[in-house]
Amino acid sequence: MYPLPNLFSSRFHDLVTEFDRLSRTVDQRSPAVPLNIWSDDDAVAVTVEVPGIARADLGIEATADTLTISGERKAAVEPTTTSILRERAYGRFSRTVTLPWRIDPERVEARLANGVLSVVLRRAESDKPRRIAVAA
Amino acid sequence: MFNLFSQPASAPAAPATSAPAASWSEATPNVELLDTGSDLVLVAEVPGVAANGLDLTVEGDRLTLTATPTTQVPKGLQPLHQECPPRRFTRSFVLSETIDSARISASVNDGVARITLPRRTTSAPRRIIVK
Repeated sequence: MYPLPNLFSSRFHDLVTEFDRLSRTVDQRSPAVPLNIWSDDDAVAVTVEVPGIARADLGIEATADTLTISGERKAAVEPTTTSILRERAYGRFSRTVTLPWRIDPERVEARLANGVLSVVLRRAESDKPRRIAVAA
Repeated sequence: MFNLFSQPASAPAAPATSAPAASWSEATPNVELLDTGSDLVLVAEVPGVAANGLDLTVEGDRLTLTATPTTQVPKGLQPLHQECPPRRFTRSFVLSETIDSARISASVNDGVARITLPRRTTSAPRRIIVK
């Protein structure tokens, strides 16, 4: 017996990701910067794939409940080279995500490593659920 | 600094994540191919991959790139939305006979692999004396 539902979902996922890659290849107007969002009750982490984008070309802005990551992938100037195949996209991009709750703007940490930007945001103390004591 | 992100694992093939590497899906990296005259340069986007996570093999005329990211799974947090789940990048290329596969070199910077494929140095044309 093959685990058919899993097989199908895996194949379907492969198809979707391949289609996504091809559509990005066709639409070269701006780089696609896929992101993941992770959370628990107190923290939310956003990881964004930004391969080849310099730290200086990235911008991070947080409001009480949104996070915006913007930037630009600049094409390297290599006048003596000829491009044979180009699937990578260059130019500006911007992504805004709505956070699951209000954050403390003073407690935002960002780190760029190996082309992945990781931003960790903490829930504002004022936003955390409060237990109400019932008077006797 | 909040230490929510696990540090790069020493063995990239087995990153310490909540999802075992064996269950990772495979993705095709976007590439760019440049010609510098003396070399061809293959540039591949492999976000999350450090130098020790890049593996290149040449078998016959086939060059295969496999890139395994060091983990970017935040410790203790649950996925809420995923556009790029942890995955391994892999892609194969057929090398032209003009490429000197013994001299292929590669580097990884900011999640971008740069693979230099030197052309064989051809000797100057030789005139054959007709007797």
